[in-house]
Amino acid sequence: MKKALILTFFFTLLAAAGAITGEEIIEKCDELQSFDTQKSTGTMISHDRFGDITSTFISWSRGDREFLLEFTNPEEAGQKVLRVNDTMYLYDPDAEETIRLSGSALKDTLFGDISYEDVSEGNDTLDTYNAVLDREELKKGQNCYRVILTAKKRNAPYYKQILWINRDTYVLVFGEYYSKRDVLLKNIEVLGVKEVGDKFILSHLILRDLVKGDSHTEMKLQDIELNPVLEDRLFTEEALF
Amino acid sequence: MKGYFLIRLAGKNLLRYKRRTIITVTVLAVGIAFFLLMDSMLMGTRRESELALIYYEMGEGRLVTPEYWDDWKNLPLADSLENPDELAKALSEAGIPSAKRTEFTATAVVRTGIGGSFPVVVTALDPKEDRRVNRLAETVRTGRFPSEGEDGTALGEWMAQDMGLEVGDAVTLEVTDRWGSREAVELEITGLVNSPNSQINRSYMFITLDTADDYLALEGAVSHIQVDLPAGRRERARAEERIISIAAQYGAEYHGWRDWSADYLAAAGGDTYSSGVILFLVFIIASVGLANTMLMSVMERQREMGMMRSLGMKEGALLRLFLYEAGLIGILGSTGGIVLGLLGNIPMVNRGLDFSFMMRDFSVGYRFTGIIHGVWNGMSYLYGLIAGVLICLAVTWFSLHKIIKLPIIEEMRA
Repeated sequence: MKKALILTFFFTLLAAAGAITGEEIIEKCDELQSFDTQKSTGTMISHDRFGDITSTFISWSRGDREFLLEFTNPEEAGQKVLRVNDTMYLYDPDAEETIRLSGSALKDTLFGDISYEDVSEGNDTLDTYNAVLDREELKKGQNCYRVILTAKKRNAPYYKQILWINRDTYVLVFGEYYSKRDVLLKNIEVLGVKEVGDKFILSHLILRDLVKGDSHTEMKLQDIELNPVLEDRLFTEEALF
Repeated sequence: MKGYFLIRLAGKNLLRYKRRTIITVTVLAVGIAFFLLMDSMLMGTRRESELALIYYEMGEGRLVTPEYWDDWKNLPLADSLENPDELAKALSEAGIPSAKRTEFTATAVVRTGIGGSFPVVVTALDPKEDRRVNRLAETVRTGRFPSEGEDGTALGEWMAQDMGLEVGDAVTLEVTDRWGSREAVELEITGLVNSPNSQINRSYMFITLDTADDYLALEGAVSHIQVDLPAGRRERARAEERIISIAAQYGAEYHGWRDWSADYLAAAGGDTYSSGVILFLVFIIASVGLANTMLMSVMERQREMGMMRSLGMKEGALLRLFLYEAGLIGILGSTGGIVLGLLGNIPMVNRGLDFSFMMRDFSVGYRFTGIIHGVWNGMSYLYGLIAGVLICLAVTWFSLHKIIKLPIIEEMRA
């Protein structure tokens, strides 16, 4: 009996030592999404009770802190959004001027249910959140880790996130975003992933604003190029003009 | 020729051409009266709007942190005033009425009425405290202000009508708290505000300070403290000095309502220019009418001029005679215009003009809701009098100075 108990304890320790933690899952997930530079073209479709609105764009990014998006559909052609560190600039060719956004203005809507902050979010999740592996479960037909992220910084955009991450590929499958009062604010559903080199890029996703309730926004990336050579000038305010 | 004789002759001439004199004087009087009423209305619009801005929106001034002031157009909650109670107490001890407020932007989501989401400015206040500096609490027309601890809201009546909302309906606010974290606040509409400030009725929502504190993680901080100032220029200046000094002790800054309303004042300044153009056009129209009758009068009397010159009257005396006639017409017309303007302005000042039928759906930056009260402006009446006389003199001189140089024989043939 004593021998059996010792063996059980030993195997439990072994299993615990080999078990993956929530933080490791998030690290792997972030790692798969991280790249030095990226260029892509895509489409955003906003669906609400008034119908659909479609915008197309080209985006460039370098690391976590530099991001440029230019709309290419005729209605918004030439409008640009630039993020450099924590500052964001909007450029409208009709107005021929840039608007600098910071602070709470970053939460404003860029398109449909997508905020300026959403499109330029970095892959530094663990800097802002504590991650705990809750359990493993089947989500959208995929074996997933259910990871609960809780804000460790007061400026985290959401107090809590519940993420379902594919157990084999470490790619996000579904996410829920909660406020401090546990109100479910948004969810994200990943419908498509593109494998480019050793990276997995979320290429088709739907974002739902559950407070508004009657709308959702779809984002599709068509051409994705990883690690292209990008000029420094691209991520400057002057390049917007 | 003596001036007195010429003045008497001018008076007799005016009586001789009674019909023409009456027409000319009437044209001038109507023009001057129209100018005075327009001026009264335009000045009244600005005054009405400024009072609505002070009484229902801005207060006389606000105290904020320097960082907040640098970015105040974005209503940055992150730069709120810490420990506002101590500052409010210091102001109270100095005899300055004050009230704490927090202002922030949010997206309001409604599922009743027409449904949907729209941007709003939300002001959090304590209704009892706010009465010291603001008249907003008196303007809840339907229902009531939310009570302390109640997740309720009072909102602008026009906005409620546009959204098909009533007292008892629910509104969800999507907000970002002081630190940047998102939150959703479920509120019940407890009252509808209909104030003399159109902006309040159109796009403002009000909640209590404790609700804002709770949902926005303010921990006692507020975005600003609003103050009231005493009447009288000297008393106001002294009170402002005291406020600035107290604010500095608490690391805050004081800015009067004009600082907060710079955009509005710039727009109103542009409107002042436009108003000047309108008034100038009123004068031009009146002048053209006047020039026409004066020119007719001079042309018709060319023979008379020729005859007077042949009898030995000098050109200078003739010019003076006509200018005296014009001056008398100017004085009579301007006086008539001032009397008409005075009479017309009495109901405009006391009862006002109701433009509410167009102000409900038409935002022009001004804060009034539709009824414009005229104002008394003594200088405008003086300008009207002087301008009326000068216009008559100028028009007559322009009409006369060429004709008077014609040979006598040509004047006699006319």
